[in-house]
Amino acid sequence: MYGYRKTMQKMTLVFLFCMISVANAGTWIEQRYVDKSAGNYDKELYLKEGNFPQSEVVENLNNPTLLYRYDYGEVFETDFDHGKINVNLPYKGSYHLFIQERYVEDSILHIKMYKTRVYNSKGNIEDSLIKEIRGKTVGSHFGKEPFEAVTFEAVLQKPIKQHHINCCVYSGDIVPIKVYFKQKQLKNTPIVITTQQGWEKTVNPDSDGLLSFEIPRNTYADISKNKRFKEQLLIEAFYEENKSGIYKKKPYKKIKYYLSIPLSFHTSPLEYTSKSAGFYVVISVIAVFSLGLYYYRRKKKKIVKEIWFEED
Amino acid sequence: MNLNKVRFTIQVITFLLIVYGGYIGLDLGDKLPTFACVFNPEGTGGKCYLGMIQHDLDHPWQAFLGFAGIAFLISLFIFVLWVWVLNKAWCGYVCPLGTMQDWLTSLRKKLKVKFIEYDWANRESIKKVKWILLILLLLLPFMVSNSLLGLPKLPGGLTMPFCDICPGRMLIPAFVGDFNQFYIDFSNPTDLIMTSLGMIVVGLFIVGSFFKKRFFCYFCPMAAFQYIFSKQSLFKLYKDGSKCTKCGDCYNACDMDILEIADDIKNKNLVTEDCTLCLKCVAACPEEGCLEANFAGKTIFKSTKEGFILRMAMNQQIQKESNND
Repeated sequence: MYGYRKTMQKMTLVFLFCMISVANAGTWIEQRYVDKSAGNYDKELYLKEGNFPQSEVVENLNNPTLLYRYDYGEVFETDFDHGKINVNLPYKGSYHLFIQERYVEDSILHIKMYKTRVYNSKGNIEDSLIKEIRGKTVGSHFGKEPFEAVTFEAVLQKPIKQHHINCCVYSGDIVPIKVYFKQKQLKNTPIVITTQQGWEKTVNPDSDGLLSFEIPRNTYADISKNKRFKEQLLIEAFYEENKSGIYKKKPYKKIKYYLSIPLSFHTSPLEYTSKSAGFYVVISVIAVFSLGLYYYRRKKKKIVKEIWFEED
Repeated sequence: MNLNKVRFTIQVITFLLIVYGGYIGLDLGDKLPTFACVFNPEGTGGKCYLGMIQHDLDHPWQAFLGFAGIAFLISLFIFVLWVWVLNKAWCGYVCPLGTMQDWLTSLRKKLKVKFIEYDWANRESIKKVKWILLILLLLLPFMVSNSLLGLPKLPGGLTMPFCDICPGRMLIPAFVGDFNQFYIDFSNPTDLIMTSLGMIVVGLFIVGSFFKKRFFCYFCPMAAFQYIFSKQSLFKLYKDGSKCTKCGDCYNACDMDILEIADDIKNKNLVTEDCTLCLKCVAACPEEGCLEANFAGKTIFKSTKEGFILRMAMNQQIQKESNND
């Protein structure tokens, strides 16, 4: 009897562990820099699967569509080869990569969308000559219009920050997100945030459908030696549609949508910078320099007293 | 033509376009020969090439053999083209830092505070500062990614050394209500030194520009960089030495105290390294056709006797009005 109970307990634990693993399992795009020679780095993109951040490379995809959208809207198709995503892009600059796969499993059509922002520092000079001549000033990779080529999408809006760095996101920044279904904003779909350090949160939308979360401080990371510690988080969202049909000769009764966006963030600059110290220095310099000038002028203006000697 | 009014109007318009143009979608590119600050990302109507070139040079030298090298040359060429169009009038009419200095000078005049001058004994040393800064801002970012002459690579905090100390980084975003660039970074010694220097330079800029006309322009590496390509520009300042009486009116009008403008009667092209092409000298010159601003071979503004009399009368009128106040 005791043996039976113990076996049941073990089975329950294994089942629970499997359930948790299945629940937390996600798929996302990972970017890696590989040192080719003497500090020349090449960017490599992989599709990863697992419990974030532990993962394995995804070797095969079901009916994938891989699209890069350039900052100015142009769209480029790319390919997927044994887990590696082609990064040969025509222009230098910022792109968004969208990978969408579709398959039917247990009478459910799964449509999964993996998205990330890719900065391309190289390019093909023949293609990008005009763009290099033109240069770029305005524009941001935040708050883009939803992409018509994907059905279910999350778009990061401009982060709300209190520090001086504009390009990236940092702990303490508030990141607003909008979730779109067929290019229309969904107002009641939550998102799940998981950080590399294990912090997890389900974020529910506000009355306008905006999903906002504050990037948590990486309390457990040792930043004493590297104040600019870099960490990752994963944004995931799920959506279901009760719609039946046939996909690739396989019937389905409903559609399940999934999306993921990985996001890198650093330790907040507020942890190692001081605005008040900056202002004190500026004010002190103004005061010292002005007073110095004032006394210098006063000294110069001083009329030399004439000395009279009595000539008795 | 009342040059002061025309110049003031152009300066206000270009200031608005450079500092706030981004809000109306203005995009003049990222190779401008003026301080259109990258740290004002949403408002800026263009981007300063000094920031761009520092960023570009922070790469291993092997990278320049490929796409990065060609992109670098294209950027430099576009910068040179911009310089060829307006020459150093970028400083006198467009630069937001120059305009800020002119506004501080106007404030000083209104407050009737006496100006200061740099000591003539140190003028040559002062002239050299901008060239030293230019060499450093080109060399240091390159040395962050490359070991030069066997020296160790420099710390990452020196990737944009001039931006760290440029007063435009703090003051231009302040005009759109962003004061976040006023800070000192304590994360490592390099950033601590550079950001502290930046704060000191801002303080000096504000006080210096109040007391001395175009205080910062004497040290500006952008002025030095523009000057390298200035000779081929379409916009020129010509002088007919045979008509010059060396009266010194042009020198007295010059914000940058350029002696050559009054003394040099041999050279025809008088755009010097410190010149901002503000054309005040042309307006002040009493000799018919002695000084002229020339664009692509066409005279656009020249000194005239009538013009001089008219300008003097205007100045007297302005002086009277200010005395009555």
